[in-house]
Order: sequence, then structure tokens, then C-alpha cells
Amino acid sequence: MKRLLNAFLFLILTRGVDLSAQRPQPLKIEADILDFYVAEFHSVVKTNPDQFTKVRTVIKDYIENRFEISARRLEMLQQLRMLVQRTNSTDEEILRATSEFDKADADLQANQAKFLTTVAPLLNPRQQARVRIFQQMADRRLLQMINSARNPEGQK
Amino acid sequence: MFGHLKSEDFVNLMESSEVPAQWRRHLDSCHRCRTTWESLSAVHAEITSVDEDIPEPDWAAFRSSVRDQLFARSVQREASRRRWTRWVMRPSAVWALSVMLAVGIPTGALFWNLQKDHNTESIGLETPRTTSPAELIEAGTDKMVFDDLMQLTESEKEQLHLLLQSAQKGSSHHNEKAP
Repeated sequence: MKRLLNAFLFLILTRGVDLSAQRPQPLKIEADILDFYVAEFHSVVKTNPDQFTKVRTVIKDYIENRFEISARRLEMLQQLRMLVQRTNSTDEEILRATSEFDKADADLQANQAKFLTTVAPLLNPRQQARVRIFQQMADRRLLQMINSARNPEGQK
Repeated sequence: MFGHLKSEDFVNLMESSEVPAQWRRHLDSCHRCRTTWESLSAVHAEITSVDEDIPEPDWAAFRSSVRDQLFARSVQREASRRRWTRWVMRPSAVWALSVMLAVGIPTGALFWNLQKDHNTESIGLETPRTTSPAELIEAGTDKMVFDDLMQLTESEKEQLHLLLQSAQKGSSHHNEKAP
């Protein structure tokens, strides 16, 4: 009986560990970045609660896509560096990597355009103008914080 | 009885057109009185001719001329005074100036305030923090931000996490919390 109980507990615990390992753990920094952009959007664009509820999902998609495209773009950039440095890389390989990199660039632009066209019907013209300011300002502030995180001593 | 003619008798004789008959008879008979009379009448005739040579002034024209010149001077003085006081004292000008000031000053102040509010709003009071609008326009960091973000080390991410947390707190203190 005792052995059965131990076996059951073992299965439960190992199963639980497996489940937690399978579940994708969202990066903590991604959640922070999303919260940051959402707060900045609300602060700059001045949305009412109804607008905010609708816009929040659009911002979430926009930020997640930026993470995904940037990761892909960085990966292709790394490949391009490697292919350029390698003497035995073929033209076909280089052209494919170049095309992938350019596609990532184009996807960044498309993500930007998609975000703007999606939020536009939800906002009045003044708010739409503020969305452009929000994008510039939020990116700028985030870049400042990234630089501060890289060089915390220099910020003191 | 009847003697020589006296001085006043000679004057009366000269001025009166009618000479009494007894004086005429005495002048004819008395050599002394006739001689006096002849000399006086010559002087009288001379004086009378001088009076006739001097023309009588045209007093009406003189009065008219003086009146005209006095009027001209008064008009000249009036004109010079009006030149200085024309815009100040004229009622229509005073009213127009009053209305212009009464309407213009509040309107100007209103437009100035509206312009100031609009400028403040366009700059964005709620987003000043540390970044100026010029910096925002020239930023163009779309691609680089997330590239840099993806390349952070774990310690740098932890540092960024803390920075974002403090920014969120500052933002929630500064602005109303997002709904």
C-alpha cells in the first residue's frame, strides 16, 4: 500500500513537472515591454475605457509581432555575416538569406502599417495623430532604458 | 452905434450863405473891414479847395476789409487748433476708438490664450518627461529598439525590468492609471 502511494505521488509530481516544462513560459521582459507600450499609448493617445479595451489587443499583437520579426531579422543578419565571411558560401545561399532578411524588414514595415490601420477606425483624428507621436516617443524611451540597462554605472 | 465887424461876424459871414444887408453896406463903405474880409475869404477859399482835394475815405469798404481780415485770422486760428484736436475731439473718432479697444483687446487676449493652449496641447503636457519633440521626430528607432532588446543579457534584462517597473510607477503617479 505504501509503495502504491509512493508510486502515485511520484507519477503526480513527475507529471506536474512535465506539464510545467511543456507550458511555454512567457519571457518576463516581453510582459514588461507590453505593459510599458500599453501604458504609454494610454498616456499619450488619451483613450477612453471603451477605446482602451479594443486597442489593447491591437497593441499586444503589434508588440508580439515586433518581437517575432526582430528575432527573425537578427537571425538572418547573423546568417548574412556568416555567409559573407565564409569563402565557400554559394550565391544561392547568400541570395536566399538576403531575401529572408529583406522580408523581415518588409514585415516590420507591414506590421507598422497594420497597427496604424487597425487602430485608426477606433480613434478620432487627433488621437490618430497622437499614435504617431506615441510610437516615436515610446521607442525612444525604451531605447534610453535599454542603454541605461546596458550601462547602469554610466547613468548614476 | 454900428462899428467895425468883429471876428465872429467874419466867421458868420464866411459860413452863412446869406449876408445881412447892413453888413454888405458896411463892407462897401469901410476899407479896413473890406480888406480883412478879402484876406479871410482868400484863406477860406484855399482851405475849402484843400478839403475838396482830399477824397473822402470809403468807410464802408474799410469796415468790410477790417471785418474780413479779422474773420480770416479767426478762421486760421480755428483751423490750426482743429488740426491738433481733430481725431481726439471728433465724436465719431472717439466712438470708433472706444469700440475698437473694447472689442480688440478681449478678442486678442482670447486668441492669444487659445493659441497658447493649442501649443501646449500639441506639445503634450502629459508626455514631457525627458524627451523633447525634436528628439522624438529624429528618433526613427523602430528597427533598432527591438534588435537591441533581443540582444540583452540576462543581467541587462533584469536591469531593464527594474527600470520599466520604476517607469510604470512614475507613470502611474504622473498620469491616471490605465483603465
